[in-house]
Amino acid sequence: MEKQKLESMLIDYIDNRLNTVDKRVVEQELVNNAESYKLYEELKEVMHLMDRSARIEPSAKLRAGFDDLLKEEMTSARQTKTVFFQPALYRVAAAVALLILGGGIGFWISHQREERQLAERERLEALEKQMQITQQMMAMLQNGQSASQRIQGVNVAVSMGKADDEIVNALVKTMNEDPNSNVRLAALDALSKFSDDAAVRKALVTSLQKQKDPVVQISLIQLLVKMKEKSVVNDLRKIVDDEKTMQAVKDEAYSGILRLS
Amino acid sequence: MKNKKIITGIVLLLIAGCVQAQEFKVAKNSGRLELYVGKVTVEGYDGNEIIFSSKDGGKDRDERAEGLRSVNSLGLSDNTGLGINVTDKGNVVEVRQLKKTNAPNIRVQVPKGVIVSFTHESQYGGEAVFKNLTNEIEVSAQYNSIELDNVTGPLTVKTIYGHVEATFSSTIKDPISIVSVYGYVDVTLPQATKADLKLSTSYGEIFVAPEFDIKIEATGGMVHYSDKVVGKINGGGINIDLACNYGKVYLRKK
Repeated sequence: MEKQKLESMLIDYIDNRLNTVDKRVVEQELVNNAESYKLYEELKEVMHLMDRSARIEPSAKLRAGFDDLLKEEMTSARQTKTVFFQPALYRVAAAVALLILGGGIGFWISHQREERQLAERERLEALEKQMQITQQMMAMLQNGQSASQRIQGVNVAVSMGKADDEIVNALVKTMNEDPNSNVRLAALDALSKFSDDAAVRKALVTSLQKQKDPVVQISLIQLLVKMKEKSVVNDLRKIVDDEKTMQAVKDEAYSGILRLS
Repeated sequence: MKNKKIITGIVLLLIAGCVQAQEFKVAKNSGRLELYVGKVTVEGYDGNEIIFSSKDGGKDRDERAEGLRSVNSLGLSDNTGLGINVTDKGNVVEVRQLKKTNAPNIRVQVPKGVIVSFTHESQYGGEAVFKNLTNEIEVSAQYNSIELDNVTGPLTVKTIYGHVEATFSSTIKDPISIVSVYGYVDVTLPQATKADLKLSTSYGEIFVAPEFDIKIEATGGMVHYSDKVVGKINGGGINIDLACNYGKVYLRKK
């Protein structure tokens, strides 16, 4: 049996951890081989010593010394705390500064992104507001109960500055069909601001035949004359020849014919 | 027999009461009151009924018409005892006079939320007077002159031959639009009124109280001169549009 294997088996034997078969093999070996027996004796001695040393207690003096040291260490540690309070404050300040800095960077990054989003949102909001105003204006123009609400609608249309087709159409409809002369007059006045527009011009020309109220007729004739719209001369003649036309309107139409031709 | 006498007595008393009071009421505090009469005095008051009463005091009574009812071309009859027909159409109360030429002198008291509309085409009529009203007023007349006293607007007034006189209270509501072809337009505003003014006359003239400093609207750095005065007083605000063709425009301070 080689030495290494024998040694491990002997250790197990001494610890009494071998099964009966291995135990008998080891005992056989010890009886047959004097050298193995010697090794066994040595190992037994070493292990016995090891067992004993493991159980050595620290002496009372050592313990007292240790306690003293511990106490000393503890008091000194406490002293450190009080003595070095100032740096602790610095540490807190540093932590706070770091936090602010971190937050700042984070904010800056998100701010950059937000700015872009904000611009986009502002654009959308402006668009939405524009639409809301248009809708509000339309609702006002269609308010059958209140003429002043309809005039307000016309005023809103004027305040929007530029007129898209939808607004122009609504104003033309109001100018031609609203039951109240003041409202029709306001719509006419609003449209006069956009008279450079070809569609508005055409609407104003065709409106002349539709208007029956002298107040609106006079204003419309005056506007068309100011626009030097020569194509309405025939319509003006018709107005003059119409027996039902009021004198003031006739006078205005006469004056218009003179100035346009 | 005795019972019959009592009942007749009560009925007679009631009729007498009606004749004496000469009042007709319609419970309404919103919607529109549409007056198609020759002349009228409309006054604002705190209440929930439109109250019609006669200012003639029965001096126009026709003995020969006793026991008959007056009707007009629309087939409407006098349902008020005041010479007018009042029809409640839900959102709209329509008032029409029965006689074609001689308009009864009617006084109407109106609650705050009712829009007052006056429309009259024929030349047989008189003045339409509106007093102490915070209501919206719409006037579309041909010959009538219009007087508005202590009103706030909103106001849309049109008359062809008549003139318009208006005195506003301290709070004015948008918009104010007054137009006359042959008549004058005479408006009195509180001095502090913030307004966007548009004053125009084709063949008349415009007079403004010196207290009103009109900042003339300039477009593109250029002041546009025309027969129209377009500008702001006290920084601008409510829209006031006064227009005449042959008449003059007067703007006074209160």
